[in-house]
Amino acid sequence: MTANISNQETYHDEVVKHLIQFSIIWAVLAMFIGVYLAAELIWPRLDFGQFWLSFGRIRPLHTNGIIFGFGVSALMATAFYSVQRTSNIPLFMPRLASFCCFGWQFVVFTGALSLLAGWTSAKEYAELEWPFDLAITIIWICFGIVFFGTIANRRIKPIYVSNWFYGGLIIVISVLHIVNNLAIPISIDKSYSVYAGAQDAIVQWWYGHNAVGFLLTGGFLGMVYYFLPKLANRPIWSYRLSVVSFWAFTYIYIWAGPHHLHYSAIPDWVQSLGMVMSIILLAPSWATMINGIMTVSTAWKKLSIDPALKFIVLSLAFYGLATFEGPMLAIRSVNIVSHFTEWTIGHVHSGALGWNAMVTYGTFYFLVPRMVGTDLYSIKLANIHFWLALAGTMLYILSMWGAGISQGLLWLSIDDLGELSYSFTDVLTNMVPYYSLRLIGGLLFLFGTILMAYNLFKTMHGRTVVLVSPPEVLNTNRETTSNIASRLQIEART
Amino acid sequence: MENTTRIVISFLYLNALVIGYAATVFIAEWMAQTYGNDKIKNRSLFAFFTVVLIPLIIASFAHLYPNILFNVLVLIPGLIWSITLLYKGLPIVLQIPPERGMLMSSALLAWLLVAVVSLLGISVGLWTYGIGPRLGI
Repeated sequence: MTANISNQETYHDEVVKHLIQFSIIWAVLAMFIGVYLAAELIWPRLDFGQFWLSFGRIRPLHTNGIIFGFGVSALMATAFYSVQRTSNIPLFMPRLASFCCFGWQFVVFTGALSLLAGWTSAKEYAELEWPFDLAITIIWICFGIVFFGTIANRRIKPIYVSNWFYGGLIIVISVLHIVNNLAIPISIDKSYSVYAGAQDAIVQWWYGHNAVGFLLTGGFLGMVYYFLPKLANRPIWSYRLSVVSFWAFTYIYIWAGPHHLHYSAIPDWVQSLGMVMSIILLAPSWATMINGIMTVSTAWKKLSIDPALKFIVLSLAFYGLATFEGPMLAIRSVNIVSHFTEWTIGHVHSGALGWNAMVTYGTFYFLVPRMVGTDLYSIKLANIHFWLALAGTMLYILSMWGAGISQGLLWLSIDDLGELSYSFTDVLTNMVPYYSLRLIGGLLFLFGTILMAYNLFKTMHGRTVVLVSPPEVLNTNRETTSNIASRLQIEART
Repeated sequence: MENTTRIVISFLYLNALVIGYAATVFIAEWMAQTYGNDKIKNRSLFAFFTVVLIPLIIASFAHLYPNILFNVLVLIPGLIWSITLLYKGLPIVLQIPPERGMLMSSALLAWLLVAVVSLLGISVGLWTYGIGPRLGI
C-alpha cells in the first residue's frame, strides 16, 4: 500500500474511516426507521398513541437520517479519501476535517432528536429548525475549506473529474441550504420562512430538487468517477464525455425544480420550463451511465472476486432507471396521475436504494479492506448482501408502481354523475397488499445492510488504518489527465 | 369502462408485451457482442427468453382472479424465478463466464425496468388524453 514513499507525510485516512463507520451506523438506524414507517402504514396503531412515534415525526427522521446521516457521511468520507489521492497531497487542515466529521454527527444526531420532539420548519428535506441550519452552514463551509484547500495545494495540475462533482456538491448545496432556510426565528424551536405562498414553494423545490441533483446524484457521481475506474482497473471510458456531462448536468439540473409543483399555484410557464429542463436532463444522466458501463465492459476478471464491482454495476442499472423515470414523471400529462401517489415514493427509492445505497455499499466493500490492509471478512456474506439488496429494491419498486397506478386511477375515477367513485378510505384499504410487499422489500434491504455492517466491522476490528504516502510525481506541472488515470490504476493494484 | 374498450386495451397491452419480448431478444443479441459472444443466433435467444418468461407467464394467469393480494402472492415468486433464470441461464446460453453473464444480466435488467416504466408512462399519458378509463381530469 505504501508504494513510492517520497517523504514522511501521509494521507489523513483516519477521518475517512470514522466517517465510513458513522455512515454505516446511520444506514442501519435510518433504514430501520423506514421499515417501521412502512409497517405503520399497514398497522397505524404501531405509534402506540405516542406523538414522537407518529408518522409525521418519524418520516422526516427517516429521510434526514438517510440523506444527511448515511449519505453525507459517505460523501464526506469518499471526498476526503479521493481528493488526497487525485491531488497527490494530504488533506488541508486535517483537524478541521475531523471537526467536520464529528460536528456533523453531533448536528444530525441532535437534529434527529429535535424532529422527534416536534421541531420542524415544515419544509421537506429541510425540516431542521434554524439553530441546526446555522450549525449545518458552519460545518458545510468547513467541509469546503478542507476540500478546496486540498485542491488549491495540489501537486498535479489537472483537477480530476470526481473533484468537479464533489466541488459542485459543496458549492451548490451551500447556496441552496442558505437561501432556502432564510427565516425569522421567533423562539429556539420555531422560525418562519422569509418567503411566502407560491414564492416559498418555488424556493423550497428549487432547493429540494437540487438537493437530489447535487447531493444524491452529483456527489455520488463523484464517487463513481473515482472508485469505478479503480475497481475496474482501467481509466474511465471517455474522460471528455465525463467533463461534458458534468457541465451539462450542472447547467440543466438547476432549472428542473418546478416539476414538483405541476398543477399548483405557480405560473404555467414555470411548470413548462421545469418539465422541459427535466426531459433534457436525461441526456447528461445517461451519458454518465454509458460512460460507467463502458468502463467496466472489459473488467471481467475482477468481477469474480470483487462483490464491490457487482454493487457498483447494478447501481448504474438503477441509476439508468431512476434518471429515465424522473423526466417521464415530470411530463405534465403523466404527472397529473402520478403526483402525490406512491409512484413518486417508488421513484425516490429506485434512486435511494438502487443507486445511492448500492454505489455506497460497493465503495465501502472496496475501501474498508484496503484502508485497514486486510481482506474482506467474508465474501460470501457480501454476495448474500448483493442478492438481498437486489431483491429488496425490486420488490420495493414494483410494489410502489402498482400502488401508485392504482392510487392515481382510484382517486381520479368518476361515476356517471361525475362524482368521485371512491372515498379516501376505499383507496387506502386498497393499498394494504402493496404496502405489505413494500415492507418485505424494505426488510430484505435492511437485513442486507445489517450483514454489511457486521462484515465491515469484523474486517476493521482490531486493525488500524494503513498509512499511505503520496507517490513521488516528477514534472508535476506536466501530469495530464490520462497520466492520473494510469496512476490510479497502478495504485489500485497495490 | 365499456367492454369494447377493455378488449381494445387488452389487445394493445398484449401487442406491447410481444414487442417488448422481441425487442429484448434483439437488444440481448446486440449486447452479446460487447459481452464476448458475437456468434449467438437470435433463434437461440428467442428460445432462452421464452424459458425465462415461462414462470411469469404462468403466474400471470392469477390476473383472472382480480384480487390484488392474491395476484401479488402469485406474481412475486414467478418474477423471482424468472430473474433467477435470467441471471443463471444467460452465461450458459451465451457460453460466457458467469461473471460476465452477471454483468450482462444487470444491463438487461436495466433495459427491462426502463421498458416497463415506459409502458406505465405511455399508458398514463393515453388515459390523460381520454383513451382508456374515464378519469376526472
